[in-house]
Amino acid sequence: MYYEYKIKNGDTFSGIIHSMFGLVLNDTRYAETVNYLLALNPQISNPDRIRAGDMLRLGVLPVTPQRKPPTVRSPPVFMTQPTHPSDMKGFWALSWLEHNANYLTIPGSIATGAAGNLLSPGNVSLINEINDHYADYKTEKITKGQYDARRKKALDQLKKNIGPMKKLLFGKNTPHKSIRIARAGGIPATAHITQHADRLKHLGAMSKHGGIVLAGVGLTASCMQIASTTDTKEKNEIFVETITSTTVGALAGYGISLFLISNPIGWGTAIVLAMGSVAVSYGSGKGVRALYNTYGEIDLVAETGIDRICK
Amino acid sequence: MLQRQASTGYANNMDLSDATLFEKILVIITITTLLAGILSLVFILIMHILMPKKVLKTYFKEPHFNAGEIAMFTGFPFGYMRTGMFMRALGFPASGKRRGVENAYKLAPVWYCKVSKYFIYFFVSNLVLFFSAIVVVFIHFEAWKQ
Repeated sequence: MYYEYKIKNGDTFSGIIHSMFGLVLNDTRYAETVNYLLALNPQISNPDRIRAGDMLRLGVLPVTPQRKPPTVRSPPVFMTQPTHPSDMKGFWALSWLEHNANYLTIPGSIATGAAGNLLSPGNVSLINEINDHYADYKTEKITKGQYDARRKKALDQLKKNIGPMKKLLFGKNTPHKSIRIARAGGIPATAHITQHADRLKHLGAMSKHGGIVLAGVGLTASCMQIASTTDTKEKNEIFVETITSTTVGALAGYGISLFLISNPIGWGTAIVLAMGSVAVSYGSGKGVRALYNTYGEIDLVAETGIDRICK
Repeated sequence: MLQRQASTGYANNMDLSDATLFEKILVIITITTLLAGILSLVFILIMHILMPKKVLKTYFKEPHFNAGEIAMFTGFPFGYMRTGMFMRALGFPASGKRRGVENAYKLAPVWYCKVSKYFIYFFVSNLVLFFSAIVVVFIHFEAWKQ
């Protein structure tokens, strides 16, 4: 028995084997699976050259007599059967994620101020769990009652994690459209979702490093300005402005963190808040500089030794 | 409004004693709140070091925080923002409900939670006062011309 899977853009033969069978290159049954699938799909002469839009037959690997039945995940044969009515919305959500993950990663989070962990490994594992429960039910490893209970628990957790995105995912689509999307796309390509989760993590790390670079550039620029002027008062004004804007920037960051604990935000809102804090710290620096310009008497640059450092 | 002073040295500086009462109060508030802000940063650093490890180990992970947030708020320079988030969650447990960290206070010493709570009261008050003063300074001293 086999079912047909429509190859999508970005799919690779090894990627399909991984998502459908849970096998990677160094697994003991990987080579056997490749040979089996090539035998099932004689139209494929080179597995490295598969085309989007083509149909790929995927079937259950025959069990070799001397081995125990495979413990790896079997391909989800349930996709050829009508979707259970109670699963329609859930599968639509999962398929929607898969179809739209490319658009969702950054602009989606920005636009909707998502709870932020939409593409997290936590949600990816929940999606896998829902798939696995259905496969177990269809292969009679668990009863329908057990399947319903486990599915509900996982879906409830997924809905809770998604948070503000729930309305977007469970929006106006009809069950018919849900089924059509689910069948056309196959099961969600969780490898894509995992890839986007990794991307989100890298963006976070890059933002952090970018922040360090910018702070360093700013402080260096101020030091160079202090060194390049001979006017003592101007040196002090630059110093006062730099200290104030840096301090206020840090304080604004702490203030934002007080807000963040109760309001998870997406990247767009984060950028807006960051820009606001930059504006505030810049304005504060200018304000205190104006104060020093009017009333400043103490030579802070000489007192702190900054003029010796910034030569 | 005061005219911008020429930056030719201290000779043209105004003495604070020449300032109006309003300007004196403004200067005092601005400088005091700024210095309090600098000291706040030092205090936050201390709280960052003293943050209970158990709290971070239990709650600074998914699904309470997403992968991007975890990467961003770990280590220098934004680790202190993580401290800020947890200080609020520990001092005001209800604030952590949306992220599921409302019970984090149970893993922290009582003194840490209380100190966090009162510090946040002080911090917010100080920050509001500073920003209010700086807006007035900005306008009054025409800081955009600097």
